[in-house]
Amino acid sequence: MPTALEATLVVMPAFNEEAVVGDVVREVLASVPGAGVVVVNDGSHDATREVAERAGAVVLDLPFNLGVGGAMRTGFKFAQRSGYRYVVQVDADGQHNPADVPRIVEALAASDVVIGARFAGEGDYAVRGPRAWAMKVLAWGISGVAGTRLTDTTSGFRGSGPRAIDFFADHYPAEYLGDTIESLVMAAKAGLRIEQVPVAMRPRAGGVPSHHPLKAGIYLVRAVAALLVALARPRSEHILEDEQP
Amino acid sequence: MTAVQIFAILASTLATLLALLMLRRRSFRERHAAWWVFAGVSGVVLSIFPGLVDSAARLLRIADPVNLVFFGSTLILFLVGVQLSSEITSLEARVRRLAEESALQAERMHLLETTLDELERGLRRERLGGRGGATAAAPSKRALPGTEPEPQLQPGPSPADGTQEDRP
Repeated sequence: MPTALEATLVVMPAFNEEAVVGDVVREVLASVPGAGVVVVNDGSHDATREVAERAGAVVLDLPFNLGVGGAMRTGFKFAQRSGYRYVVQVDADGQHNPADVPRIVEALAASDVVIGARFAGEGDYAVRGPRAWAMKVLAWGISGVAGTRLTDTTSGFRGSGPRAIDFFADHYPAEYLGDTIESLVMAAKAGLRIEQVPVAMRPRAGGVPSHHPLKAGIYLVRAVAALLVALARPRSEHILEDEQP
Repeated sequence: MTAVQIFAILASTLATLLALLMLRRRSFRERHAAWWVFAGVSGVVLSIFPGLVDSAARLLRIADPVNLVFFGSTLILFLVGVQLSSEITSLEARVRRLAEESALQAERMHLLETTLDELERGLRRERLGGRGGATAAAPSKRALPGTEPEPQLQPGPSPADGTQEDRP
């Protein structure tokens, strides 16, 4: 019987991340002993694939850009077919601390989906203005369907247990914000147990989150729209979205 | 028959012919062509017998018959638009699934090739060295998905055969 960490697959969606992905892979390999590491190269135009392979990751090469949702579903399918019990999504840009992965895997013993939440007491990550309002509205709405208190629903740092892997390998939305908001709503509606674990974020190796008020306002509108659409959609049965009834 | 009527008949006949031609050349599938053929034939019929529009408008209590024509054509365009949006959505979902499968298959193939390479190298070594089967065919560290229920370590960049190759 492999240990929980040996049955864990760390999935990193990467789009044009050649500058940082190598270091992140090496760090994950060092701090999560025994776990598999797969980089889903989401149609990058740079050397992401080569860099990740050299660092020791398995690389899944998407022929064109599908977005985080598509990359993650590929990762879930890989995990399902290779027999992994846990999947932990880690950003390739290094803002998630791989040292938190074992804590997420630990929490997966009791829950199906575990979110590494950025504002739940650890770290000093802060946002203001419309972006903060959007996060509040989303947290409130998704906590309602999930039946637990969640404070950070847009975090890309999350773990999935065996039931969630089976569900997400078939149903993982590719739409805008689908990988964060809608996937949680779908999981909650499918009866999966969602929980959050506080984590500290590190500054991103490249780029800073946008605080431009107009952009943040548009984000607020789109995020609320995405939440409403996700809430309005029926529970996914085992029908794939391209099979018309 | 007025000049306007002749123009209308010609235009709708051409539109119908275009739709049928596209159908014949397999540029359309039937369910897409049906709308356009229906619209084209209606256009021909109504421009030959404009009285039909007038009586239909009177029946529906529409003051100006031309509004009924506009309403009808807008409705058809709207329905075609809705049908196309829904089909694009389902096509995108299929393309996405194919892309994901292609990535997974490529990785599987890569793994098979690596394993095969190692096996071949092991065999060649065995034949050259003639030292029996002990060192032959050291398979890849990582099991093929599906053949091993338990996940294994992912392969490092170099398999563990370097040390043996140095010996003659």
